[in-house]
Amino acid sequence: MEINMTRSVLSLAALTLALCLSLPSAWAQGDSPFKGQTITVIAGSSPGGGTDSLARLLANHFGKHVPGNPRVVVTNMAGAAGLIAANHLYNRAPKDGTAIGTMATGLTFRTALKDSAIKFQLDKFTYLGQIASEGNFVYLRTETPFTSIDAIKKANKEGKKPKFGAQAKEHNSNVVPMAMEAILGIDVEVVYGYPGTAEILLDIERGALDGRAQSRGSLFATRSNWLEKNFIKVLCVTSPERDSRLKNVPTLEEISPKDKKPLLEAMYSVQGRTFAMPPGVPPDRAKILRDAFAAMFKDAEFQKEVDKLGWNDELIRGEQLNKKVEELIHNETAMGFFRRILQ
Amino acid sequence: MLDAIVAATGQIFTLSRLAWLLAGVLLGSVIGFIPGIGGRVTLAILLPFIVKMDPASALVLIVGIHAIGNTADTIPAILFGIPGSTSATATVMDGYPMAKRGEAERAMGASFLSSGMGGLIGAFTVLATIPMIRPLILTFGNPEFFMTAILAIVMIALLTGGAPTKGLVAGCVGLMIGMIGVAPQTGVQRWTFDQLYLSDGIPLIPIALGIFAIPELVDMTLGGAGTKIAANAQAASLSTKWQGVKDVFQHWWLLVRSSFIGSWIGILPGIGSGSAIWLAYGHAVQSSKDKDNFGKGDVRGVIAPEAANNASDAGDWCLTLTFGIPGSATMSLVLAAMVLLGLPAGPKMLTDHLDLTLVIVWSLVLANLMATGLCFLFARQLSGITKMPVHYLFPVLIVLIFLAAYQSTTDWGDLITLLGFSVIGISMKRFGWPRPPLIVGIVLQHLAETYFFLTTKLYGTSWLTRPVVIILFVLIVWTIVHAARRYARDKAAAKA
Amino acid sequence: MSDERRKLDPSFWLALFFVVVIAVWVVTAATLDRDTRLFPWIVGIPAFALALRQLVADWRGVGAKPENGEPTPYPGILDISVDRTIPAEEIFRHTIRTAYWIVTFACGIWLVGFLITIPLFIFFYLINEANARKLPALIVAAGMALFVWILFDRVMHLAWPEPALFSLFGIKPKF
Repeated sequence: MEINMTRSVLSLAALTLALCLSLPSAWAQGDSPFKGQTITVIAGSSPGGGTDSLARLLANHFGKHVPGNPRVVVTNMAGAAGLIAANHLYNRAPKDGTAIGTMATGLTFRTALKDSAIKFQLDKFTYLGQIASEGNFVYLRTETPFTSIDAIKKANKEGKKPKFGAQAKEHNSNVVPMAMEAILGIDVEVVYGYPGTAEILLDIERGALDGRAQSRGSLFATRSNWLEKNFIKVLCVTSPERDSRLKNVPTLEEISPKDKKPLLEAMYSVQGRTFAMPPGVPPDRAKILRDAFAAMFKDAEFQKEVDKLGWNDELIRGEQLNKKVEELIHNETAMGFFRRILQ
Repeated sequence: MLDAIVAATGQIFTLSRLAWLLAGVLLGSVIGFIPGIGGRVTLAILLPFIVKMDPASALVLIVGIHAIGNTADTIPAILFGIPGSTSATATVMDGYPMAKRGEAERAMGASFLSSGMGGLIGAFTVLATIPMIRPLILTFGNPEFFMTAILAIVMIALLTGGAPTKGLVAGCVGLMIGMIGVAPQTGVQRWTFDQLYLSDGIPLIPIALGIFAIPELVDMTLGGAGTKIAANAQAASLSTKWQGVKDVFQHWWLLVRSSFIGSWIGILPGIGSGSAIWLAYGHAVQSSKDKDNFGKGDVRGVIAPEAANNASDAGDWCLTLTFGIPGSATMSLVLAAMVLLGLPAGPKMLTDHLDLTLVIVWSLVLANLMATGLCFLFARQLSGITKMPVHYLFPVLIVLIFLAAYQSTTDWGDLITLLGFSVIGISMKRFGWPRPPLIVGIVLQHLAETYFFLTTKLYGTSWLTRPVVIILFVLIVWTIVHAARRYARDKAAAKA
Repeated sequence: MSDERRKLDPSFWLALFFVVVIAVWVVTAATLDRDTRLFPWIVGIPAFALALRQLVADWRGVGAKPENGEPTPYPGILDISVDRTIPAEEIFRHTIRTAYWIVTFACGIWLVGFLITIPLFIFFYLINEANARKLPALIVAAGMALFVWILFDRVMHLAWPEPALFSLFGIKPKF
């Protein structure tokens, strides 16, 4: 049976044309601008990375608090520890509130170092909000002579330095010990390049490393038995207040000279888990989303999941974040400090 | 320990848990056998749903999805010569020639059964060594891991002895390609030419597809229109899946040895299945009297790597659960799922949550059986693909390959990498340069360099005198000497 | 010893390529600091020596040559063999022709994106290379496009690239 070839080809053309015309966004008619829309959360890591969990956490809970109940999906854009995702978010993602990205802490350090790979201005993002801030515990094995800051200073005089393990150079596991070096006047050695937390912990157990800086939730989740068995001694915690689970551990602020307080403020500011949108999102839409973000934060289900991850939940609204980031990057003390300890 | 076993058994043999396991296997099979995509993507898609389930069911589902990926990735490897994932690359060597002879079904039968049994042996080996694992891993430090990585690369490069120089050069070039990007230790950019795409290193999937998949597709269509893959079909009776089953039982000792190789290698962080398959393949070649058929469709070349692959999986799981060190990208996802489920990977999995760990072991056993059964059921239908005209398969596969390459980092660079490495892959194939050492070099580079660096930073030069390091060094030297002697002998025989 | 002049083993060119690449590698590594260039040199310098050795061997034509009909001229290589019953010129021509298709596909993706190029590529390939009839070709092309759209766009939310032609006219596909 002969089929009309022209008709078939025309149908195919029509089909493909329809397919590509459906690609540009079509505004949905409705009360809320987000009704029928899909919000994309860009995770700056491959599936399974830490940033990925953050993105998926948001995706699971955000949609139901946004008026119009849009669909929220995660897409991964791995590379350069979140830099590629940030560049894309700033320059190429849609500016109508349908694109959100995870902000890696390393971006602040790159800004300080005036890294040429950065194609954005950190304070011009439209920040959505912060859901948690993570301080780090700094600890060393009890068998080492480095059981207190004074002990470290004494050992330094004899030419001995504690060996810390760290992941990448811009990772907090490196930044915190280096910051402590500058603030407390001690000498430490940081071996960075470890693929991940687990490998560092293994080497501590093997005795190849003396200790590390680890985020609070992570330590409790992975090696709480070290604390119980007194295998490690926690020297301090890098958050503004003492941790309720380890009340005897002083904060870094308590053991630092008073004139170093601005540097500590700088450190606190890079410990947050934040989300941002591209610059130029219309103010009314930004407000809708920021309100939804705050509502999500109060949701009991959301809180439960954050607790499971071991994070210290702390809400900072997007508007405040914008101000904070702007202050931070014009704060020459802080930026200079990061530059000094990372070079 | 005993009551944990009882508890675990109770948890898994419920209707709902078994249903979840089966669901995982079925879901995984839908996407799992597209080359380059596989279980990792299925897991990523289902992650939001998984975290809402109770931990035991969630783990069971994850194991199911993962298990079929490991068994089904041999399907495109045998049918098209395109490995479904890097762990099926060794199976291509003999599985694809078998398909070209019309023995696709036999190859699949042997492969699925070896996978299943390898997985079982692996699971039980790991179970038996759970008490010893922590001390073992703690004794094996960075220096030992480094030497093992070097041993793996050297062994694979010298595998058949036919062209040791080419193999070693390929391995070194692989290592060098792996070095592109940010040096993990110093944070300095190496050979990235200021391209952001390269700063994380070239992703593996486009490279692997370019080196292995595209050359096979090009050669697949060498005959004119109407060619089929199984062009040189031989005796029908020899080609059924039951013959494959008979083959496995005929070579049962090889199966067991390969499974042990797989389990032990899989326990070593990072070295994992990528090397285990080649070491098992190499062992099969070296331990057999008649080596000539390897590479031309010897069923032993299918049995050994498949058994090792699934066995190494058990070790991989063990490492992920008890140390939180994922041995592969899929395991990182598993780790992420565990975090979201509130399960901390680490020593607690062997104490507080031992029953869950055992649930996983049980699930591995059962999932392997289910996956094997499922694939086995459809082996005949699948092998029917080899009787289709290749020119219909070609465009469809090209599309899938391009998509699989693109989805690794969703950047134009992925496609450029795919094309560039296709040229290299085709050239290597034409001119007799072995491709496997190149891939293994890339896969192992990051680990090799990381361990080397940490070793020198932490131990200075004293690491060279550690006992296990010396043993491994001797093994490396022996491998090289053995290969050199065999090469000289083969050359002399050829001249005669 | 054969008295006809031996053709240069084509493997020579690949060996040359590797020698050059490795040499450039090792030399540029000298600009890096001590820690960063350590591993590249430990690998690169022996690799250079080995590649050079192979280059010389290929120049002298030391590798075994195929007898007619033998599956591979390079015995003992761990890799899949090429069908040597087909003459080398035809293999070469076929490789170029197939490469043309693959490169055209890649260009199509660059210009108009995956979802348009896929059905067009499949359709035209089947018509030209498989001598297929128009209707079956159409069905396969449309079916595959649909499958890709459902799996990769609707289910996986793949971030499609921005096609060059579209950005030229300022049309921005969603995401």
